Amino acid sequence: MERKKQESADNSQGENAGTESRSPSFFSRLFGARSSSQPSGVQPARVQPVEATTAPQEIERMAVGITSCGYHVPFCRLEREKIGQAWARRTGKGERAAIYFDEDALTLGLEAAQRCIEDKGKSGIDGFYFASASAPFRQRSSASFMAAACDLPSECETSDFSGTIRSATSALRAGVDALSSGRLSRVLIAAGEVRDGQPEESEEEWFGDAGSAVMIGREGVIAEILGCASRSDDLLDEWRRDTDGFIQTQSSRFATERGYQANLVAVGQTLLKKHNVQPQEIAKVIIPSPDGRAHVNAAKKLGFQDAQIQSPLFQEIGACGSAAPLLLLAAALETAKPGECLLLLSYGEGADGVLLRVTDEISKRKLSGSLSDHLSEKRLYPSYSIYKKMRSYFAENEDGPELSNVFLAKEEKQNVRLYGTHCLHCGTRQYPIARVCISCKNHDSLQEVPLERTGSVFTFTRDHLYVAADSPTIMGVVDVDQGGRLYLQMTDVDPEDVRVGDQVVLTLRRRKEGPTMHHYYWKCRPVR
Amino acid sequence: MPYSIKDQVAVIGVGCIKFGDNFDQGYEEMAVEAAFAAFNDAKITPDQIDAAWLGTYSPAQGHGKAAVSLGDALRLYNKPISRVENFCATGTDAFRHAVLAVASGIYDTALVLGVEKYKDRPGRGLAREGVHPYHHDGSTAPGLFALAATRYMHTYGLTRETLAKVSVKNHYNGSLNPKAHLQRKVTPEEVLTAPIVAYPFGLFDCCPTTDGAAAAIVCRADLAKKFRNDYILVKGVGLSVTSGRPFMDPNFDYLGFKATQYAAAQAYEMAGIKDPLKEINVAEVHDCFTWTEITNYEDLGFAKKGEGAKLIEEGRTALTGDIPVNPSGGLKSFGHPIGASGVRMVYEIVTQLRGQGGERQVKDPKMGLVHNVGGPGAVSCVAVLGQP
Repeated sequence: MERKKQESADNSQGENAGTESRSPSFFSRLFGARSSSQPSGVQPARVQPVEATTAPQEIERMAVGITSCGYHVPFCRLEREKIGQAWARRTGKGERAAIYFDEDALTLGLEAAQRCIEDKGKSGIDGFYFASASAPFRQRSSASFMAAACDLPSECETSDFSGTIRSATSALRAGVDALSSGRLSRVLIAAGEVRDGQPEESEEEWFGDAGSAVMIGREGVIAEILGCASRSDDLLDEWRRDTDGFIQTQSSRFATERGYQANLVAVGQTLLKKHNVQPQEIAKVIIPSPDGRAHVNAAKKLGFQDAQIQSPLFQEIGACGSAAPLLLLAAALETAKPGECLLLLSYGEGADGVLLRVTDEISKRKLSGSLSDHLSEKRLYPSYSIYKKMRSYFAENEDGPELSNVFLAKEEKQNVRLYGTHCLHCGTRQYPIARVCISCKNHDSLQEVPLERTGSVFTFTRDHLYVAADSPTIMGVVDVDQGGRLYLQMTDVDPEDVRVGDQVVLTLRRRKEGPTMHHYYWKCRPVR
Repeated sequence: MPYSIKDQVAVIGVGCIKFGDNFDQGYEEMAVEAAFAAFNDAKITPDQIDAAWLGTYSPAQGHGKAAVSLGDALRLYNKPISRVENFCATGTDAFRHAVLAVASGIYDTALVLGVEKYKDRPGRGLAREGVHPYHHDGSTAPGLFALAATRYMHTYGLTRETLAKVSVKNHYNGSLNPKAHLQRKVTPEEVLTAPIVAYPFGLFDCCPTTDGAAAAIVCRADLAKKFRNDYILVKGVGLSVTSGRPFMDPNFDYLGFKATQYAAAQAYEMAGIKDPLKEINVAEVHDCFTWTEITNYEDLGFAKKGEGAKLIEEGRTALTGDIPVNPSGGLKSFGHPIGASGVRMVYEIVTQLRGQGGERQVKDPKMGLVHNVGGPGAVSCVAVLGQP
C-alpha cells in the first residue's frame, strides 16, 4: 500500500512537472529564471526554501505553495462620512465594506473559496480550513458545513481556526505543515470576517467585512512558500468576550507600537534573518492595516521603502481582520512577476509571517477579473440606519422555521451540496432530487449529480410583498448551465438591472432565521 | 370518449354572501349565511341534503381543517361530508366532487360550500403552510404569477398598458355588483401608477385578500323539477394537476398553463363543445392577476397562444362583448377567498344563465363556464353549465 502511494506520487510529478523538476538543480534553475525578471532596485534574494535545510528528502518533491487565490468583498459599502453624519462627528475618507443582510463570515469565506474552486477545480482537495474571529457559530464547525457546500467528500479533513484576526495565517501555516509532511496534498483555506466596532468609536468606520481564500498544493504553484514564522504576545489590543456584541478595543499608541508594530517587526526580522534575505530583495511587503497608516511605520521599521508596501485597501474595504492577509496577498499576486519575493505579515496576539517566491506559473494563469474590477461593482448604503439594519436583521427577526436534524441530514445532498438528478434515459437534469423523471417519466433512470453553479435567468419578478430585510426581493427562475432549473432569490444586484437572460453565479447565503438555527440556502447573483 | 355526465346533474340553488373585509363575521357565520341562502334559493331543507363537500384552502383559528367545520357550522351531523383543498381550484373542485357523486347515483342531493376567512390573521394573508422551507422561500402568490407574466411579456411583447385594461374592465363590472368586495371603477392611469406589488403587477393588477362564502345545491337532473323550473344543468367538469413546482420544471415555458388546457379539454369533451369561443356565452375565469386572465383566454380556447390580448383590446370580453368574461367583477373586484371563489363563480354563472344578473346581466347566455387555476399552473378545474 505504501509503495503504491509512492509510485503514484512519482507519476504525478512526472506528468505535471516534467523530468527537470526532479533534478538536483531545481532551485538553482529557479534562481536563474528570477534574476532576469527582477524589477530594477530590487536585488535577487539568495533564499533557501525551508525544505532544503530541514528536510533534504523533500527536494525530490515539488515545493509547497499557493496555487490559487480567491476573494469576496461584499457588494455593499458604507461611506465613512455616513457614519459621521449619524453621530455628528468627523470621520476618515473612503468606504468600509459592509455585509448585506444575507451574509456572514461563513458566506464571505465560502464565496472566496468557491472562486479558488472555479479557478483550479476541487479534485484532490483533502483539507479545508476556515479562519475567522467572527464565525456565525460558537459551536458548530463552519469548515465542515462549507466543505459540504463545496461538495468536498467526508474524507476531506476540516479545521476551524478562530479567536484572533491572525487565524488565517495560522491556518496557512498549518496547511503548509500538513503538505510539507506529506499528510495532505491539496488544502483550501478560506477566511471570512464580519467586523463590528463599538458604535460611535473610530473602529466602527475603520473595520470592514470581507472573505478571502487560497488553495495550496504542490502542482501549479504560483507562489512557493519559502518559510513561515510565528510569535505570541498576549498584549491586550482588541478582543471580544463571549458576551460582547462588539469588538472591544484599547487602541492607543501603546497598542500600536508595543503590540502591532513590535510583533510584526519581530516576526518579519526573524523570517528575513532565517532565510538570509534583505528587505530590498523583497518585491512587496504585505501587512494588513488597522487604520490605514500603522502598516507604513511597521514596514519602514523593517527597512522597506514606500514602493514596496502593498496597499492595505483601507479606503476601499477597511480593516477586515482574518480576511485581510489572504485578500491582500491575492492583490499583490495580481501584479507579481516570476521570481519576485513577497513577505506576508499578520498581527493578532503576536504575529505570523510567511515568505513567498513567485514562480513562472503566475504568467500562465488566466484571471477572470481583477480585484479592482471586483471592488468597483458596488452598492452604497444610503444611510447608516440601513447599514445597521442589514447587520442585525436576522438577530431581530426569527421568523424562519425550526427544522429537524433528520430533515437537514436527509436533504443535505440537494440543499447544501446542490445535487439534482440526471435522467440516463432522456438526459433531463432536474431539481430537487427526484425518483421519477419529469420529462420521460422513467422511474429507474435517474442518477444523482452535482449541478453547475452558474446559469441564466429564465424569468424573474421584483416582489415587494415578501417580507425581508430589503425590498423588493428578486425571485428568479434560473436555468443552470448543463441542465436543471432552480427557483432562487437574487442578491448583490440593483433590482432595476435584472433582465431575462442575465448570467448568474450561485451563492450560498443566510436565509430566514430559525428560532434556534441559522439557515443557509442558495441564491444567485450577477457575475462579478 | 370517457363516460360523460352531461345533463345528469342540476344546480337547483345558489347562495353567496357579500364578499369583503367581513370583520364582524366569523368563519361559521359566513358559512351559515351562504348555505341558508342556497337552501332558500333551492327551497330545500338541510335534512334533505344527502352529502356535502367543504372547500377551504387555508384553515386557521380552529376552522376549515376538516369536514367538521361544515358540520359544526350548520349542525349538519351524521352525513357524509368531505373537505377539499386543491390550491386555487379548491371551490370548483368541491363542486366537481359533489356533481360526480350525484351523477354516480349514490346521492340525490348534495351541498357544496366554499368558505374562507383571511382577515382575522396576521401576515397579509400569506399563509404558506406545507411548502419547502428552502426551495420556496421568497415566494408569494403575486410573485409566482409574476414570473409567468415576465416571461410572457418578454416573449410576446405584451405591455402593462394592456394588462391594465383587464383591471379596468373587471373593476367596472364589480362596480355594478352589490356583493363584490371592491365596488369602484378604476382608470388605466390609476392602474399603471399604483405601487408595484410584484413586477410586472401593481396593486390594481392583483386581486385583494377577501373574506367570503358561497354555496350551491346540486341534485339528480330528473329530480330538479321538484325544486324549481329554472334549474341549470351541469354540462361537463374537468380537473387537471401538473407540477406544484413549476419553477423547477425545465420543460415549463411559462407561456400558459397546461392544467387549464387539460381541464378545459375534459369539460368541453363532456359538454360536446367544439368551438368554445362561439359556444360559451359567459365565463367566470381565474383573474387572480391581470395577466392570468389573458393567458386564460388562450388556455380555454377563446384565443390562439400569444393572441389573448386582442380579446381585451377589442372589448370582446366586456359585458357587451361576444364573450363576456368575469361579469361579476372577477377575483380582481369581487375578491378571492380561495375556497369560496369557485363556488362563487358557479353562483354567478347560474345567476347569469337565469337572467338575474341585474345591471351586469349579459345578453341571453345559454352556456357558461367556471374556471380556476392555481399553483401557478399546478392545478386547474373547469365546469361548464348550461340551460336545460
